[in-house]
Amino acid sequence: MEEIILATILGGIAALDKTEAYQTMLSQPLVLGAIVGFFLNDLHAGIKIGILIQLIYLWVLPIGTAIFPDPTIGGIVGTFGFITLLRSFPDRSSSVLFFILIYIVVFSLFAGWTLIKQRELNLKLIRKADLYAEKAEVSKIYKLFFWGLLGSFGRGAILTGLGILGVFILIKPVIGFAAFLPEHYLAGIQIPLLGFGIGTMFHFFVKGKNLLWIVLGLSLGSAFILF
Amino acid sequence: MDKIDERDLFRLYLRSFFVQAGWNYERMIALGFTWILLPLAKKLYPAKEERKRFIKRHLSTFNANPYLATYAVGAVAKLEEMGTSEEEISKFKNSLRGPLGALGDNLVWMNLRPALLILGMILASISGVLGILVFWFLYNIHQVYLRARGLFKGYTLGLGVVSDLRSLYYPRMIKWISRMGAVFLGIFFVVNLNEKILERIENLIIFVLVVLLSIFGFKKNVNPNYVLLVCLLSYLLVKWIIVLI
Repeated sequence: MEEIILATILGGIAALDKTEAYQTMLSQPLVLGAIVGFFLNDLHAGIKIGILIQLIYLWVLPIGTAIFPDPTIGGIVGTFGFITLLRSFPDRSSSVLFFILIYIVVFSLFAGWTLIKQRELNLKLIRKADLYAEKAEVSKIYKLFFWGLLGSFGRGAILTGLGILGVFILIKPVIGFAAFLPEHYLAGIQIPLLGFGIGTMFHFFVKGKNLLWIVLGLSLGSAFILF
Repeated sequence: MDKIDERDLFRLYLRSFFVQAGWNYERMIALGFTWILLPLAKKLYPAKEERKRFIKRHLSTFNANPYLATYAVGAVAKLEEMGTSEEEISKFKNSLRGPLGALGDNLVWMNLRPALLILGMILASISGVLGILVFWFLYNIHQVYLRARGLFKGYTLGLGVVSDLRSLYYPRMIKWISRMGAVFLGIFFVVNLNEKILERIENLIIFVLVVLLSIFGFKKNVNPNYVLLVCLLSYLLVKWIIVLI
């Protein structure tokens, strides 16, 4: 229970970091995976799943008013779900990873939708700010600002709690039912994720003038592997 | 005589970390932007009527990249201090929206963030949590610097702040970050092309297929969620065909 409470608080803080405040990239799945792994005493698994979720969502750009999935909450819920379900199904790590990944993709879309709704709700804050501006009531505008932050924290915390609940209500039974799926069938599920992540990196950095720099990177990587 | 001192600027700087509070689809960062400037309202406009007009003009629609919004904060602080007219301030803010958004998208979201994330993933897969800390510190050094530079340049240059945005400084920075990203991509590729992918021919086929499919999807602006789904399904399909064979 303590772990779930910690995860929900982290969800609130990460949601703030993602949109409303500071933007330190604490909200990236890579960082969140390690933090959740640390809470759950399995840092190694946390980092591993954190990297995979980051690969899936490297493409997400919080640009302007674009609609995008929210991998922040998905990252916390996914890491939490992966590590706790591994305890229930220790010899079925590939199945756990597969179903958790499917869950993260769907859940992140839902989380992104809630972000849109929250931003629509924020319209009420700005309307109230207009009223307070008419009376030059500065202290009341301060309150609206804090409501904005609280709304974001609340969204992150509640969604994280719901997401973790969903892992136990939906995903755990599904993994139990899917026992007929041979483990070796899903054993290489990281491969398409890795390919998708590298495809995303190409999208960002493969430009004519960068080709030499990619070759330099390939050489440095090869040198690292060889020596 | 200056009415805004260094302490005020530092307050504005700290508050700039909350510029996106209350983000909404109608006026975007207007609420956060106004909140940042509120200490100036009290200082520059003791009369209630003037303060009211100050708050109202900054509650109008405004948007910028969160890290570069300090350019607008600094410049607006300077203009308010100089007693620039309301119309001119509004016009100035409107003229900054485009450059601040476009530069921020290109510099931070399209280059800095993905480049450092790739570095973070490489280091995390080699040295664990240390790699993640390196990513986090490197990224935040940049964001803290960008915010400070924006505020300083904005306040110093006032209406002329666009000259800094159009200088060679940022294009050079973007070029070098993009090159670093390309190097990290090369390293990531080699480090992750592990035995698991190379041990079986079907794994290699899936890997190459998915990379090509993703590149094609991004080029054609297909929703990446669908691309990912197709990638996962392709994997399952290839595995299934191999089981049948």
